Amino acid sequence: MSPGHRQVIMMTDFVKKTIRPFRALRFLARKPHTIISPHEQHNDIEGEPLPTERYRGIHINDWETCISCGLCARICPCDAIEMVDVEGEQKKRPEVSYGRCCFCGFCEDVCPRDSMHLTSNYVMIDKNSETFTFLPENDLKEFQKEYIVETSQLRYNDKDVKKAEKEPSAKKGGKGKKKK
Amino acid sequence: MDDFRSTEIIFGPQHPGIHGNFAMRLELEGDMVRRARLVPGYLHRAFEKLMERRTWHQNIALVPRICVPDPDVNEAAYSMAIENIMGLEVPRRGNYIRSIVLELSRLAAHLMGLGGLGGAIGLYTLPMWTNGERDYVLDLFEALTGGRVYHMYTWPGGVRWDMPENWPRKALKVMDHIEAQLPSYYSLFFESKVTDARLKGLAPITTSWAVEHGVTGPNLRATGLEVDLRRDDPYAAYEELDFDVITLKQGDGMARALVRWYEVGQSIRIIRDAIEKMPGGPVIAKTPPPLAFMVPPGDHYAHVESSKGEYGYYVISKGGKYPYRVHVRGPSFTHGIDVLEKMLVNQELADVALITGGLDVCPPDIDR
Repeated sequence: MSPGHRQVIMMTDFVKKTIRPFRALRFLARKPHTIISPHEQHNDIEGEPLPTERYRGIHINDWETCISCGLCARICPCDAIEMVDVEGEQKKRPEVSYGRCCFCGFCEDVCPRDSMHLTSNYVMIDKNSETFTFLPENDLKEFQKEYIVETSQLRYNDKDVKKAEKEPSAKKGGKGKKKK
Repeated sequence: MDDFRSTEIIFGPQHPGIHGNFAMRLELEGDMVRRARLVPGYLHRAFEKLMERRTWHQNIALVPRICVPDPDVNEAAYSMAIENIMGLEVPRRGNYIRSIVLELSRLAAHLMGLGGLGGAIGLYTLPMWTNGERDYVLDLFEALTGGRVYHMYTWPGGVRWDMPENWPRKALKVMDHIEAQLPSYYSLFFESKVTDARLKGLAPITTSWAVEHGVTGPNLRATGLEVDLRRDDPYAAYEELDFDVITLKQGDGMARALVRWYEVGQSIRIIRDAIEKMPGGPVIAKTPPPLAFMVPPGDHYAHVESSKGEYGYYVISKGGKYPYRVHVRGPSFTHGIDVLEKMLVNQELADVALITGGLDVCPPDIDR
């Protein structure tokens, strides 16, 4: 190999290695992986909504089938479940403390009557920390439904909201002018 | 004057270049590291002791926390040790699903590791890309196991649930997607001039040195030794699956990164093969219910090939509901303390984060 030939190879290698990383620029045209939660739905690769049914989130417990055996409290690796007395009920019911729960779903597996279930709902927002220790019932708790944020309440990336924001500010400007 | 020649700096745990919660004390002369001491202990949660107070099944919720990016190896190794003591035989379908889950876990861990390596160089595009693809793998985990990071899916005797019907189709689609992305990772990272300058010839190790110091997994394969527990001591369904053991000869930082990149391709191949060969039948052997689960007296060491190296669980049972003693052999303990302390000597300060990332050290596993 002549020195000139070697130089040519080195030069092409140099040009390749300098230019190739710029191919990444084509990714600018792609949509980002991140989503604006809770505006946008998180989808998997086939466009199906997530979380799926198997997702382990907040518990529900069917009080009619629950026989108050306490197996869920015994299997719980985090001691998050406690059997407590409930007013107006003869049986004890499981109470879940979400400060401890690790969402393993063993309570669901071990339940002999299939009454305890983990829903795919994972939204838990409340100002009061005591809310997160509660008795799972047939339906989700009110505070979980209350705090699901509606689209119009958040401002970013929502054209309608931006328009709505602009309108009152224009009115205010008008008032200011009048005063002057 | 000699007293002022060296500087000691504390590198981590609050440092963007450190891989998790551990620290290093580096003695520097100018820009060169003369002595490195690891300061672990920030994540010590006494897993091995905690396991003695929990039932066999409750520990399944505990063990994945020992290695966060690659959690399934813990569940699998722990379950395999129990199965061996009890003499349980896992159904074939259960073994195949285990293999798929382990490979998905390796895939996710390698993608994250490669991304971290890009971050250590200053090439922040790569972590964005790899973590984006890793998210698809986490979606698959969510649809299969119900958890995104901690799956708690492998169970003594098999796996907890069967696959959903449409899951194999989705998995193949994600595999196609990741495979299509691999060349662009290569051209971005491995064909870059910066990577050449930073990684080539970085902290090279020889095979004999590596074996002497207990290096395992991709780091050992990067020195040229063809060792892979999936082939040498097959577990789950690896005996029936097709894959190559990737080896490179150089043993430097570039080889360690390249082995990981090639192994992503091999993982995709294994997952495709396993889905194709998937047999029917039950996924879990008949076992007593979790609360009446007893393991007869005995002991066993089960090991698996994780994304970091050999991962082992030594379980001793004296009969009854609780394990008598569980010992975890984590690859990051050897890589992160002994090997790293020796490899950092006479390296530049700027390369410290890169060498740590190249070894793929996982700090929760050092402390346990």
